[in-house]
Amino acid sequence: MDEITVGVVGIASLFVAILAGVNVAVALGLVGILGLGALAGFMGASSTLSTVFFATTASFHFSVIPMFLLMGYFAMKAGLGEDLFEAAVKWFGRLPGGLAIATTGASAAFGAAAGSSVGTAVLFTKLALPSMLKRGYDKSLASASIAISGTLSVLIPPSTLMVVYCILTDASIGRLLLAGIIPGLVFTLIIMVVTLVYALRNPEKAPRAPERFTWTERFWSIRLIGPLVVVIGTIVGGLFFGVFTPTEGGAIGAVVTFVMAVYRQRGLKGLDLGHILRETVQTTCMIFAIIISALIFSRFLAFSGLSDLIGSTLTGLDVNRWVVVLIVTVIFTVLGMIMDAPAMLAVTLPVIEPVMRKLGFDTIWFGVYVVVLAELGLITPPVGLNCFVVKGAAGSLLRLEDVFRGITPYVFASYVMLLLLCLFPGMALFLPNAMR
Amino acid sequence: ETLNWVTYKPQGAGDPQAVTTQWFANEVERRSGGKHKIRIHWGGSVAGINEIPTAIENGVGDLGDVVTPYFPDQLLINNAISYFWPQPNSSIELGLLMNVWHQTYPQFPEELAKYKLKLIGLRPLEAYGMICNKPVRSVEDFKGLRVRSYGFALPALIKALGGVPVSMGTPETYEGLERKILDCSPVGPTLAAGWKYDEVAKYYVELPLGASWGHLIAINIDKFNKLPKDLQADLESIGREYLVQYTTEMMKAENVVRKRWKDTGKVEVLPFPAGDFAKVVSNDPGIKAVQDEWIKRAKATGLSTDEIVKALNF
Amino acid sequence: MRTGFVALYTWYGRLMTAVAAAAGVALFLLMWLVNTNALSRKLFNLPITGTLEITEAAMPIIILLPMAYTQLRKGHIRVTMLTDNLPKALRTGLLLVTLALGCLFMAWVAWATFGYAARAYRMGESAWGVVRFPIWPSKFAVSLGAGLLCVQFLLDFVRVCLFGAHDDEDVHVTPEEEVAFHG
Ligand code: NA
Ligand code: NA
Repeated sequence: MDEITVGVVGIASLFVAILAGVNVAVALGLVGILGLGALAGFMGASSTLSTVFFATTASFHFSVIPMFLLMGYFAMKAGLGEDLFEAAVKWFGRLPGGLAIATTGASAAFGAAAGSSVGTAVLFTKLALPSMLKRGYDKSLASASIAISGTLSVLIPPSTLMVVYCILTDASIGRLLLAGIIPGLVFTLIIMVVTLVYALRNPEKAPRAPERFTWTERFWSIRLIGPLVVVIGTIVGGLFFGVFTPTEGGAIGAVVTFVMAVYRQRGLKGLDLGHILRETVQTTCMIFAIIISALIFSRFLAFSGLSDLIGSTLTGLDVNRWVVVLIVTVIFTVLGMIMDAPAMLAVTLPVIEPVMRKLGFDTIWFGVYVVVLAELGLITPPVGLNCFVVKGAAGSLLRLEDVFRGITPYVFASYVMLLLLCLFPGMALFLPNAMR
Repeated sequence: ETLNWVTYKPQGAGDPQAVTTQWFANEVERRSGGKHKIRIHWGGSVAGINEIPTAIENGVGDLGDVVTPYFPDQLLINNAISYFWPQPNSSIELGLLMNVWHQTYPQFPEELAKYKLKLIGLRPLEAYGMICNKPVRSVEDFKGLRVRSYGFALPALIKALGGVPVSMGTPETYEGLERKILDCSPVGPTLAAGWKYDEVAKYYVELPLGASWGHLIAINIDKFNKLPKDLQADLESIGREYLVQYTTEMMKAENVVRKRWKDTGKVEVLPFPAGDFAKVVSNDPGIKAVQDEWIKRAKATGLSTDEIVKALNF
Repeated sequence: MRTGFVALYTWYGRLMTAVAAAAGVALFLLMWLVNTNALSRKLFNLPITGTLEITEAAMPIIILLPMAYTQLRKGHIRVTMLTDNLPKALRTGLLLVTLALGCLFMAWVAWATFGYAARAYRMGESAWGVVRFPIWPSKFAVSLGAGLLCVQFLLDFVRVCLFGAHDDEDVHVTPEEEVAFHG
């Protein structure tokens, strides 16, 4: 068997293992390391195992992941999402699909303070899903809209995934975070419009709220977003005035929301800090297990020469560079189905990003493009991290299939967003270039 | 024969390190008439910067770049230069020194052999100065400045200058300089340009830190011994030429960067009084303590350190 | 036998919960350290010596020691969409294969990382920076975390052998065991 064949067999085995229900991390890691063993020998494989766990986790940059998660849990206990949702209901409740649209808006706003889609999805499943179901919303529409809205957190800064992208490509974190702002707002609007159209065509799936609110009530509700403004202001301001770095921003956000949570819960007791800390390390652990295993798998693919082959095929293709973008989009869509977002970036970027740079695409623009593709991957089956998280947080309220059944309109929304990014690259590049 | 080269450097970096790595591979292919090849695994795609020696030792890659300052305990002897920083030699001089030491003192190759590594080539980094977002013209100007620090020699040096050492990773240093969390970062011109620090810091201070110690190109010994004789000979001679090839590329790149700085006026190069600097450095107990630690530990292995220490002092 | 196993499983679960709690507390302390460092750096030009090095040394411990706890809570992701439709016996069989593979993989990781940590210990490897402290405890933590997860996979394997798999894979077997398992 030549090396490329080993690589192809590896990918096939990965699919089989994942679909057979093997833990995603175990499937990626075991297939990857067995493949590497077949190519570099048992000692080579063991050597990779011996170093990769420590080398990946002993990182100051990656400390931002648990910090953002911590912040998400504290924000939930501080009632940030709850208040925000209440205000949003007053403004959007009468719209067809208004509650789902409100949730999207709230998720986007919360995304400006949280860096991980997981945290946001957990939060809004807890806060919005029961109320939506109570008001007769379709399970699929409600849960899928929460799942996609949670991904806005990775496009709107701060963003753990963008940090991962920058670490993998050596791009400037600050510039990429700025680049995400406008596309993040545009994508929020697209998701809202898609929900609105879907609700108009299927009114039975999204009944309108019966209560009416006066303008006084609406404007009065704006006060509820005060704490969130403080959190966002602290992070953005602190970065701007050089108090802390983007990596440190996660820890700063966690402290600010911690203080708010203590205030809201009237002390540490109501906070149930022990539970929050355990939940945080558990989710952190789950994410890193997948990141590390995906790294092992990607090393196997690299060593087999398969990723080189993909890369050189892409660069060697004598086609318009937009055709390459199309191919990359297809590759990321397919990989996004079986991998979670950080894993997909770790597997593909070392090969694809240099190709894109050679074709004249800005690394920052490509970062935004890839992040939108990764958001899509977060909701597509069979491995859709955000759908898992929504199902996990919803408990017995719904089944995993309910969530996956509702994603079709949002897959469409993602492709509209990608198309707009290609047509108007300035959407991403305007802010980072203006801040020079 | 196809050899796997593992490097942490992304190919797209296009800097002297990437360019000369490709040159090495091309030369092997050219000199063997296409019979032998080197396949480069770029950008840490097979092993990260912290994992490369272990990867070569166990045959994940056959050869690659060992960034010795990352392994001060594992590769103590081969890290001599890292403990003596600042030091007065240029990068090519450091390369030649390392070469001589490897011929003279068996402890140098023996230490590598413990981890199944064999030295093939040397890649000392460029002479470092400091990039700052404040004008620094004298030792007094350093007082209270927050200077990016890493490794073990820099903290002592920064303290000796009166600055505040701030530990920060390479990618974050950009933001650190941009937002004035850092006032300065030690770096050479080509690396300053490569990491884009020169977008956010306006002054390059010609602080005479000397060349910064860099990388060894190492090959798995067992693998090397099993290679055909012609390939062994080619690897050794290309490896020797590598030092010249690399330092030449580096000087070229440095000139390009310096010219660009001058033409665009975006970075102002500030001279620095070398005498004052040498005075601070040679009398500082903190810097001396770092050096003494190496001397003590190196002597324990039976190495005679006197000549080495002399070559690295001002 | 069954009662004994439930006791063992429960005891191990409590231990893993304590490990996760300790990691969580470490993370919480790290959060304050990073904040204090940033503020002290800004306000007094006085960064907390070693913040970066301590964070880097603590991260492997915080992230990897709770791997077993995460498995205990069924926090590691599995895809069961296809297997959900299979007959129960086949589903249980696949689950056993899954757990066995996890156990083997983690045994390999624990063994390989142990060798790496042991070498660091022998050479007295330190974290080098503004401060110096031994780095090998962090490397041993990686091996320990993998070993603990290996044992958890093994316990889950035995659990499914003894009690069978539940319809919903993230819930434990019978009400009686449910109580026991959630300790
Ligand atoms: Na965000
Ligand atoms: Na997916």
